Amino acid sequence: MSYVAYSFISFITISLFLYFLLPLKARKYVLLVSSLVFYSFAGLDDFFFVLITMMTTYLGARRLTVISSIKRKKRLLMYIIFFNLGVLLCLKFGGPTLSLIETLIGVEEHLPLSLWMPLGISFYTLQAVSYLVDVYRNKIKAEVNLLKYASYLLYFPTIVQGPITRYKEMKDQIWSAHRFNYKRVKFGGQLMVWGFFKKLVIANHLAIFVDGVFNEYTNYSGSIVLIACIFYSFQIYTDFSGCVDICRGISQMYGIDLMNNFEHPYFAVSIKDFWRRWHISLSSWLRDYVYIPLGGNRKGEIRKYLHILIVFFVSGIWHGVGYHYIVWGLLHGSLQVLSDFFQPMKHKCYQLLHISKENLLIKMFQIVITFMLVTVAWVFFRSPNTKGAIDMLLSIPHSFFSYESLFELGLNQREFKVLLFSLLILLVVSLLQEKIQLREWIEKLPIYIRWPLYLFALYSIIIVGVYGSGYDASAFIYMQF
Amino acid sequence: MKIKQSVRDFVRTICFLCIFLAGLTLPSYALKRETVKGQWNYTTKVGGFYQQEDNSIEVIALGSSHMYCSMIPNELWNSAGINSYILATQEQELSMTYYYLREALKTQTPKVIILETHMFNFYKKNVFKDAVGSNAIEPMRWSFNKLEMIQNVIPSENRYEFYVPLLKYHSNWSTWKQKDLEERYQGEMDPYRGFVFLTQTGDYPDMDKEVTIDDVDINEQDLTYLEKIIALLKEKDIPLLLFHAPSGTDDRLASSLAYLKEYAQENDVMFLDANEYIEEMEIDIQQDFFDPGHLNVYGAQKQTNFLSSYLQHYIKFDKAYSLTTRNQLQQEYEYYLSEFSE
Repeated sequence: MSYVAYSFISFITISLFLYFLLPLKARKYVLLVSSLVFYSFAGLDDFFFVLITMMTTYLGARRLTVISSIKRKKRLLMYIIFFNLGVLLCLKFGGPTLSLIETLIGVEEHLPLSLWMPLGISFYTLQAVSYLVDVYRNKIKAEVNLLKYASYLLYFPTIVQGPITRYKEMKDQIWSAHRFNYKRVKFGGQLMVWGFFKKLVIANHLAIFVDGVFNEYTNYSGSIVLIACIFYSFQIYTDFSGCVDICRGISQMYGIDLMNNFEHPYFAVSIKDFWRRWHISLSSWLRDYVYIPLGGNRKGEIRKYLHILIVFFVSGIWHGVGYHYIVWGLLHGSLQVLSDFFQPMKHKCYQLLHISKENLLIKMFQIVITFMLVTVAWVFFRSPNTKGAIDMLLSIPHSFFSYESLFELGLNQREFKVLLFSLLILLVVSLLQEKIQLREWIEKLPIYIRWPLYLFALYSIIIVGVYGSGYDASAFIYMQF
Repeated sequence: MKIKQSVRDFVRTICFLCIFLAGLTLPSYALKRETVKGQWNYTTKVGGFYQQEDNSIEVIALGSSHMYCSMIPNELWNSAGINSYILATQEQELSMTYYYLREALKTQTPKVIILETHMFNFYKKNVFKDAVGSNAIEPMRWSFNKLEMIQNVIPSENRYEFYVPLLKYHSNWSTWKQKDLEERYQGEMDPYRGFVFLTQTGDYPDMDKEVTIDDVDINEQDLTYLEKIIALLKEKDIPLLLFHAPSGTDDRLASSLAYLKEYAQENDVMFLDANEYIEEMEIDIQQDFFDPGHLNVYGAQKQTNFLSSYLQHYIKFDKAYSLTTRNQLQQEYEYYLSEFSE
């Protein structure tokens, strides 16, 4: 069940009604049952895998608390982590690896290998590992109540696309009885609407243009390919952050606060800054459970750079099957290493030229450069393979200008205008969010301004949004990971 | 104080929802799909049925394209003075036909119902086609019949878009023109009374093909709805004629036809396989077909004449129509004639 499916809206409505209609004591169970119902739509096979992860980490964590020997504790921790990550890696790479072996040894009749992955496995595996490691590190106590742990791991707003939450932040929220709070429900609804706007109005329109060009970039001039690359940067952001906003909005209605996974990443002034703003829950997970255990920046400059590259290598692997994901990750890692390496020289240049770091023009320049670098990296992410990405990027300078009409690439003139206007709204909202608490500000507006604003947002989604039975690309990009 | 605030919040929410829903009516109206022009103008054909005087129609013909291509109500009026109407849409499934029947019987008390049988087991499994569902459901007025039809006939994942057509047709905004508003259905009559006027001659059917019937695999859903139709008509004491329009045939069609024939005898239902009377009707196989499955208007004329005699032989018609209805039928016949002569 997709977060933008009609059935999901019905599901949420029923779940929320039940949650607030039933007595306080029953509410945590409504949440658990809702998560089970949501996940049951994925099928029994998927359920089997989440059950394995849940039981191994739950029992493992309980066992960790009774073992006194540190060596044995560590060994058990490693066994469970390797088992769960092994399952994830096998499912992710098993099919493609066997296909590769078959091709190499020249098997004519290929085995029927599918790219099936249990729903949300990439996300809930990381959550389960973080829980286990935190228990090992004595940061949290092992959970005794299996239902409470199940509620956390299966929590339906986060299981498909994150944010990757931590048990410490969630355990009390998820198992508490939240009273109906009009303001929370309203704010949650607003966040959902904003998420739907980003996904259905912006991302899905962009997808039409981007898919057309990326699939046959050789047919288009450099300028069109460049526009498609830039559009993809916006598509992946609005698609992913739109989904997270929907999930955060739903959670807020129940009374549960989820972390913000994005802090306007395209306002980043460097690659390092970008990763502080993009997919924050994954970045912090990689920092806490990969970078720091490797030694972080405590073992010298060279090791630090190596650790950064390893973290981005892992991030690339986590995102998908194919060398191009690894290239994407290593590209980001290399840029960050280079940025760190040249940082002292950059500061000296600023001092010599008497340029302030707070200079608006310098900031703008840094934002544009960072955006361009990120966009180049996204091309590797979006392309079916590394060669395709390189060829596509190299094709941009060739026959850059042409008389191709922008309106013959899936979007007509009217749709294009709406798309550009929507991107402008995104920019204005993002700028406002940097300065003020936007929802609080809207809340203080008089009703004759506030309500038309809400209605405009709702009608925009319903009328100009790209969704429904005639549209098959409504799945979220990050769902596949 | 807290209760007062809660009541205020509740009232505000309801007001907002009302404004929101009211605001949706305009785009729903402007963007919805309507077929008001051309030969397959289902919105006008089905909509026109609602414009008929209550209890004035004596023959209601139901079914799929085979029905609306093989009977001409204007001819039936001219030759026999019978008021008839065809309520059929493209590939209409029997399940949909059942709700059409219920809807028709709300305002009419016909002397006979004709049910064309091509869709009976036409496909062994009912594969939902969005266009088929849209053509059948959208022209129907909102009623409990329509709601029940959507609930029982449309697969769950598609139902939302039938309950709220704006969800389906919202994307029309990008090509919408002011002209589209002027072409909305405005309660017009269909002068052909549900008949689809096709003059072209296309591929003709192979009527001599040998048919071997070795398995009769009846679609349970179709059988259930046929039983419902028969039960409803028995309750209303209205005779049913199962009618198979002239067309080419194949094993699958022949097997269901053979089954139906036997079924009709067992259930005391009239059955007419027009393929058996091709020569008697003087249908020219090479000239009177639009395509191998459907008659053109020339073939339909011959078929109507035959049907007219058949119906009058078995059914007693009152033919006691009001002056308004008579005038309307005559005007429509003249319109049909003028188009026919062109």
